[in-house]
Amino acid sequence: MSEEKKISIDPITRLEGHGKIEIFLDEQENVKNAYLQVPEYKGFEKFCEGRRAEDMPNITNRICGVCPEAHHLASTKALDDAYDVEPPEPAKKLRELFYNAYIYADHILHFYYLASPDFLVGVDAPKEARNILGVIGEVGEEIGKKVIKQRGKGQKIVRMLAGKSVHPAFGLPGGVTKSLSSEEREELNELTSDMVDFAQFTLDLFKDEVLTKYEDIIKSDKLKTYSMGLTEDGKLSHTGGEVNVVDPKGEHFASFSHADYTDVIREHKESWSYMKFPYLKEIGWKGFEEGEDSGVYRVGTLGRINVAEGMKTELAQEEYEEMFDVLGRPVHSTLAYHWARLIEVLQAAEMMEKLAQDEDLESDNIRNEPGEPGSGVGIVEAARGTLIHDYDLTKDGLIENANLIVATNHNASVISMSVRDAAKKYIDGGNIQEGMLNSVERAFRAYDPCLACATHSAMGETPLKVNIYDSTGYKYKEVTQGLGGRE
Amino acid sequence: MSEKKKIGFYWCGACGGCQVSILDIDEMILDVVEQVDIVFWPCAMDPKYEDVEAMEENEIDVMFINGSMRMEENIEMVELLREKAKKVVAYGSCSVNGGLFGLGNLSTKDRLLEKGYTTKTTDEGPFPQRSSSVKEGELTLPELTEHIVPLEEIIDVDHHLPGCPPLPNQLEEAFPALLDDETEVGKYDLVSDKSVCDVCPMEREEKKIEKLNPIQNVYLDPEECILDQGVLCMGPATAGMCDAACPEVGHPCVGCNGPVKNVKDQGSRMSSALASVIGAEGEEKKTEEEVMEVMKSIRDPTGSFYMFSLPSSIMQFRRGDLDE
Repeated sequence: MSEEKKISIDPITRLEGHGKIEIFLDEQENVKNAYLQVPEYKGFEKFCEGRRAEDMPNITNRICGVCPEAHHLASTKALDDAYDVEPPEPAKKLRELFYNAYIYADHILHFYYLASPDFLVGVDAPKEARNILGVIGEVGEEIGKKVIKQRGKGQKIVRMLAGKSVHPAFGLPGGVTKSLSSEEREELNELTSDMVDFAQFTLDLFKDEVLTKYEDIIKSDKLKTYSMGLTEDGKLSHTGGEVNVVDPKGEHFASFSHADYTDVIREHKESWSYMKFPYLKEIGWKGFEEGEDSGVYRVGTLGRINVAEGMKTELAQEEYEEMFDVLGRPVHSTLAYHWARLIEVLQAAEMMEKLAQDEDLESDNIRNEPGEPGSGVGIVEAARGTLIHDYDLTKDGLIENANLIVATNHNASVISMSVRDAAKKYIDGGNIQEGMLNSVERAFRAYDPCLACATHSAMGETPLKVNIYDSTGYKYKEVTQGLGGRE
Repeated sequence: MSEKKKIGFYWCGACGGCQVSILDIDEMILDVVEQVDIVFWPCAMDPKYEDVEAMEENEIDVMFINGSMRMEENIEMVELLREKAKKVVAYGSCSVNGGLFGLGNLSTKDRLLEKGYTTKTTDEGPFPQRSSSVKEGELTLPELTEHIVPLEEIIDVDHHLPGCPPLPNQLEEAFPALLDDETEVGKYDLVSDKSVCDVCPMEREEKKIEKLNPIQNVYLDPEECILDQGVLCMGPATAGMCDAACPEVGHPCVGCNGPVKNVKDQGSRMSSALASVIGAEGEEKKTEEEVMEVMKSIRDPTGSFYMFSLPSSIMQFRRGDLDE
């Protein structure tokens, strides 16, 4: 009798959200297919209806507590558009500072707290050690404290402007609520003074500890898809400009401004996940496939760096060139997400250092008068990728319709495919080891996926368990944590 | 010295902000970790569900649960955690009061799904299903609960620690107190009996206001009370553990901490705070129409007054069959 077996990994830990991976084996006990499921949903598009438009930056930042700044700014920009108002220059600079502080803190959180345990501690290490504390054990307490401190500084800058770092309150249509006092700008100078050094330290650590040791994986683990991200004058941008798409060969495919996103993007849905799967409308949904004929694309640090002609700052530009020298262009390796992420940490540090010198941050000219309420779209690059907020307002400035396409949504297909490919590579059905399951999770973590975001929502809750099913779906064996067995 | 306390963190329907809030105590996290064994923390440490299931009754000393009861499986999990924990702390506004996702209670679970999967960019096709056949076998998904309810309607809760999310100053107070057997902490002792107004640097003079104006139409004086300037600020009705973090930076309070201690209904509290000042000038001479105009300027009282506490309010939810 042919028997199909199913392995479940649930929850996928060290992610900002819950998720579940189901792996099916064939009769030779090789991986046949893998599914990433997001088992949660909240319904923002519905319950935002009827809310006051100006509340949206404070409602939608609760889509994600890890990247609330991204939702806050995307929402604020959608309101700029809906009220047909441009913020004054100083407000734009304050938003830029706010956003770079977020990118800095968030990328550090991801690299050191969530991803680096797999590299610095190792996937085969006991599970108790595969966390930030284990990392501190590896890199030493002095560096560990530095990591905590540097992340804290990013959060501190957000708090200076927005009261709270988690769930900031700062953006208004046409501007922001606060500029800096001269004392605060002095403090900002102090806070930003060693961020560039720390970013470079982290890049060196990555090159020594990850790139050299995992070069084979980085170079072999490729998924050739379209890439998407914002650029401003060709340079990698998080807060403005136009969205660019390059094809799997790195050739220009499309450029569009915020208002035209519906011409380029559609969302496919599957009944087995609460997460939708966006794709390029012109190419169409062809399933979980790579290549030019599939509408699947990637966003996030790797998507952005692939579409950008360069970085906005000098030192980050050097790193950008080095990365493409080493890996070729465009880069399709999933694990290169980490490298691109750290290059963005450097750009954010350089930008904040420069902004701290700018007297405009102390300006009172931080708001322009909004026009009449209409419809508006705001697009930013969240840490994890392109984030779209689209609202229709009533004449009283209430929300009539909201459409949200978030970073991890765009990546839903590539993440599923990476997980499937990693499963095929690391799981030899008859021989399921914990380190192997963790390798699958590692493929997943490279995207820094935020499943909370992806379903405006989301997180599941069950265990890392291996369920083995026969072809009729009857479960005859359950293995916990991938080690040994329990009949 | 006594044995290290075992603590756990768990998230239900959440945004992840409560997890981040724990990291936002910066270096203090190392001191906390020194004093405790963290046995369960899904976002940063690997232990799995089975590890919890295999635990003895009361094995966890303090279990912090955040997030709202959005999925059926949230309920299963918190019931299991209750068995394993001596103390359960409802951590954050979602578990204490239902939180922002509680706005979903203004609709039904079917309508929440329908809207999300019929947006203008979404393809036709079946909505997410409890069980789906794929060519390799069967995949399952948990279902949404009918309505979000506060954690304590599901299990016994020993302490409430609201906040969206709780802030470092709250944790600096709460962690040592909750981890020390000698310190008596009442169920509501971590909820402030002071409102955001009480701790706000701007003095509220309870000025009469003609009507409420959207914040985008008003240039606020940063030295003056926001509500006195005719812009909705939830300060009078909201618990002030945050030291008025938002008004402090010139932004109205949105009410994220939920009601002050011993107040059940944040919205009623806000209504009465507003009723005494709004449109009160020459009220007796106003026509019914003029009074209606004033009331309309509030625009979305339900969403604004109960943004974070609808499930714990006297309204709780709107019956889906009534809003056809």
